[in-house]
Amino acid sequence: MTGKAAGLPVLVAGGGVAGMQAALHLADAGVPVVLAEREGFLGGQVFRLDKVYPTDHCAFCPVWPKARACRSHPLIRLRLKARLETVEEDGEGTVAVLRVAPDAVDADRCVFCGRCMAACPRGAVVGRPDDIPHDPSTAPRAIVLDDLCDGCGACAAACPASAIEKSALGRREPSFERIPVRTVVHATGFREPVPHPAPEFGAGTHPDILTAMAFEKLTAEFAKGDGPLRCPSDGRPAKSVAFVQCAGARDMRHIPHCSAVCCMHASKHARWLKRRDPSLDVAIYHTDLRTPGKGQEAYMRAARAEGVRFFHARPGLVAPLDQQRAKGVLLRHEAAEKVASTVVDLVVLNGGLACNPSTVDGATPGNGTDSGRPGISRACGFCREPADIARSVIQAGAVVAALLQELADCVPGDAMEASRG
Amino acid sequence: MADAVVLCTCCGAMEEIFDMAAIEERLKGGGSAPVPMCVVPRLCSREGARLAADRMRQLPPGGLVIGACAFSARGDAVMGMLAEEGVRDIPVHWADLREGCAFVHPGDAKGATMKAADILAMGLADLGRADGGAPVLRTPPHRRVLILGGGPAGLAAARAALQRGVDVTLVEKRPAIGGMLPMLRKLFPDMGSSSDMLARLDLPAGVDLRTATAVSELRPALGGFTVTLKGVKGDGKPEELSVGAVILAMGGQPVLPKGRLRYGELAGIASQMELETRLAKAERNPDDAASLPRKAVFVQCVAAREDDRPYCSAVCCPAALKNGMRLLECVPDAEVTVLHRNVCMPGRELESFYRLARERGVRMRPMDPEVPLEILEEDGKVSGVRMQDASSGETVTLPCDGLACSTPVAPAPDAAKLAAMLGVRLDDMGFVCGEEPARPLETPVRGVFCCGSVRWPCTVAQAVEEGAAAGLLAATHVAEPSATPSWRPLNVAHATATILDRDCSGCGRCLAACPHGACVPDRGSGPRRTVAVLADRCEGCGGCAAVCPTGAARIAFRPVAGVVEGLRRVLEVA
Ligand SMILES: Cc1cc2nc3c(=O)[nH]c(=O)nc-3n(C[C@H](O)[C@H](O)[C@H](O)COP(=O)(O)OP(=O)(O)OC[C@H]3O[C@@H](n4cnc5c(N)ncnc54)[C@H](O)[C@@H]3O)c2cc1C
Ligand code: SF4
Ligand code: SF4
Ligand code: SF4
Ligand code: SF4
Repeated sequence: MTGKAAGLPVLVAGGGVAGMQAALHLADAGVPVVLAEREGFLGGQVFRLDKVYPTDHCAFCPVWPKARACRSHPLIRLRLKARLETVEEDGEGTVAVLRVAPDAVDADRCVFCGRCMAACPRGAVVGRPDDIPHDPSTAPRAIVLDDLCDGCGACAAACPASAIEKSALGRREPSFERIPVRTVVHATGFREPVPHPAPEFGAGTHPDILTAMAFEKLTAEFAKGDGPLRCPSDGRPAKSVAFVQCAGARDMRHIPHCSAVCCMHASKHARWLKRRDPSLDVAIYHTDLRTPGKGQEAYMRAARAEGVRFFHARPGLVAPLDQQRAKGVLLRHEAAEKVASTVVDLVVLNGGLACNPSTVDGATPGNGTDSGRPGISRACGFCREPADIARSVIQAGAVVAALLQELADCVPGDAMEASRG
Repeated sequence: MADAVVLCTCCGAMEEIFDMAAIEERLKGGGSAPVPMCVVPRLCSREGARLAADRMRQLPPGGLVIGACAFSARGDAVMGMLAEEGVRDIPVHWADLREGCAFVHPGDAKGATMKAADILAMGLADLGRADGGAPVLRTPPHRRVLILGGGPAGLAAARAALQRGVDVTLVEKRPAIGGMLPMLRKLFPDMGSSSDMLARLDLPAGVDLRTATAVSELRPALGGFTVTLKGVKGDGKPEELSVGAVILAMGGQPVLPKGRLRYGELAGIASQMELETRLAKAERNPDDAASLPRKAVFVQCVAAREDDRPYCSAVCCPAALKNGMRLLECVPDAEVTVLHRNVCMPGRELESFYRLARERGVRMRPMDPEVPLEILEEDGKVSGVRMQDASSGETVTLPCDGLACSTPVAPAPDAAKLAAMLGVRLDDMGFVCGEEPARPLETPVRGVFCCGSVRWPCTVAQAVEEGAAAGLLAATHVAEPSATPSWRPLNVAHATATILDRDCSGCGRCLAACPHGACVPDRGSGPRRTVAVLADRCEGCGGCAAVCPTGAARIAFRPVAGVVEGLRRVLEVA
């Protein structure tokens, strides 16, 4: 690497807990960072969680201080709505190409007064992405212009903070930003695959068969208050909920790996449901119950003590009943070497989380901490190895430590020297 | 002192809800001198800050109440710009009128206006009571990191911290570094050799390594901690070091299956760790394979996941599968059956290791923890296990000539002692606690970090990851702070406790109550035993003040009197 490369930033792709932590570690060591996040906000999937195990705190806590630290760190440049498209090696070095969605709203100027929303004749200005179940008074807000915008400029005229760039309104095409970087750290996290990888579990066939993240949203306290848990299909109060574990995961036809977080994720939901309504029948159908992390087994034992029922059985079929005749969802599973059928109101499919590919060609970063090629392929968080919040944060530190070592080895006397004083 | 109010309209959003004139009127209260008030349209813009600063310059010197958004929204930016415009180092109270008032009362303009005026009035009262507002001086931490334990976690921590350019001392109580590694020989999940791993982790030049050394005292001090080291046998001259941060990496130790499954009673029954050692011998010298079992049964979760030890130790399932495969390699016609409650192989790497083990012929059988195993014997040696298969419900007898008990890892024996010296909390199982889940390696005591199996049982790869991450955190902690602490409002500033020497009776309750290890016995020369607060460790939680029977411990900057005075004024006006 030439002396020129030494002053270049490291690009961190993904602004979830792992990416934010990696950016902070790098910046604390004196290395400039560009933090690129596909969505319009930092926090990733954790921001979509209502509560987090094993503390049962709301998810806001782990995210918010890190997001604030990233926003205010002088060495971190934040690029929101910017997705890492490719990483190129030209003769000069490494170039990260970001695909930046058009964004007419300058988040640093906007004061969230909402006048643009009222002014827009087409209803194209919306508040924070509405799939985030948080209390609006604590979650950082964001003004977003959606596809309905035709560029009339009414919002820009109404904005008292000059936060809307009129010339950028109505633009659909993304722009591409080429950033010379020293290297890229991938922290693109996970997603629930769509369509669901295991059709026998009936995902998408009925509103009362939900994925874990959809259930999170349904039960989030801020979204729903204290009322009974209602079935999305017809609004009747649910009396029974079944969690199907490893749905689509640990299955050679689908996703061979274990998602590592869903045993605890299900226990968390189960305990919160029981707290909300002790009369609810809550059952977890599992293969292996994996609770090796700190405090996890104790959490699971508490769930059992609170009346959550655990069945060592992997359902083979989940299907809605004929809704003309009876409400509910059928669950077919094995019990003592016989096939049993159970009818429940709600079924939650847990497992089968997939790593987010970080670049357009679908390449997953894989095991990045010890990958040989300098310049590309370092990863932390779920996109490297299924990981919960604690593990993701730890991995970020490990990846950065290895990276700092490597950067120091190839460029003596670079920016990091300065930080050593 | 003439205090003033700056009121931001947030580009008019506040004016839509508040009646600004009514606020001004109400602040005058019972006819006293009017409070100078300056209304600006957008305080977080350069123009807004300049407007406010110009106005402040025309007024006699005094404090300032800022009524605007929640401090967390734009507060830092506003304070920074005001300082740049020349308004700085005066007492400021930040009043949240937007998120805390306007936004939550959109339909009640009159009520919201009254509430806003009350919030401002209370801010003014708080200013009047502020005791000077001198910022707490924090002693810069010593630029040395102390690492306790030279296993994979400690070694990785040392490398990462040293890389960041801080000094590192690593203390290992055994004569050599490596922790459990030398005992393992082959490692899951890639069957890599542990000596290669150890070579990769070997300490870089520049680390101050102390082997066969013990910590005899470790106590919080200004700028970090003071540690006293001496030889493990109590030999050698004690040496005192000042360090800015401590990384706990003392690891763990496998529990022995004493009193379980006739361990120690019958021949042929071993702990998984003991089998591990015999396998290593056989791998080095094939003649030793003769002593290995031909029909082996491994029992998982022995002395784990039960009332006394209600945790899963994370490494014993992968270790059993690893040793099963090793046994099959040393003795190709052997049979290995693993009796398990669940097979704990989470993630991608371990799950594929699990598949590999089954492909290689390791057999798995679920057992019911409620149904005890029966150990069969012949001539003082184990000959079989009778168990109930949890999936079929059948009772089966598995003949065997060797039984290995997979027991959990327990925290290092010194963990409790060292944690107590530092004021660090342990969990119910005796492992060190970080701030789960987002800051898992940072203990609540500032400057104390944890990693590896002293935090929780983990694989070597995880211990190395945790060590590296903890090394970076500790280095950042002791490195010179880059930015000078910014000027902040009184009600937002970091408050710390003070203990009034005069009133302290030396009862020591605060020592036990402080979760951050900031209250320490005062080692001063005075005749009485009192307590001192280490300002650079205090988080201002108020735990000491809550338990102090004499009122000697209190939180500086936030005298209750200010709040009381504020309430009095507001209630009087109403
Ligand atoms: C049977 C078995 C098999 C295993 N097999 C594998 C495997 O194949 N692959 C794998 O990844 N993991 C395996 N593990 C797990 C592995 O042992 C741990 O992950 C690893 O040892 C953790 O590293 P550590 O540095 O945290 O602790 P340790 O390795 O225990 O090291 C801690 C060090 O601290 C020292 N120390 C303790 N107290 C003090 C003190 N007061 N002052 C100074 N020094 C102190 C100790 O002497 C020791 O050297 C296995 C574990 C068991 C029980
Ligand atoms: S955000 Fe608030 S309520 Fe939630 S865990 Fe943190 S402190 Fe508690
Ligand atoms: S009008 Fe301007 S300041 Fe107000 S919410 Fe819209 S973009 Fe933000
Ligand atoms: S300082 Fe706060 S209240 Fe004032 S304009 Fe800025 S965001 Fe709005
Ligand atoms: S890792 Fe396996 S053997 Fe060890 S406690 Fe957990 S489930 Fe039991």
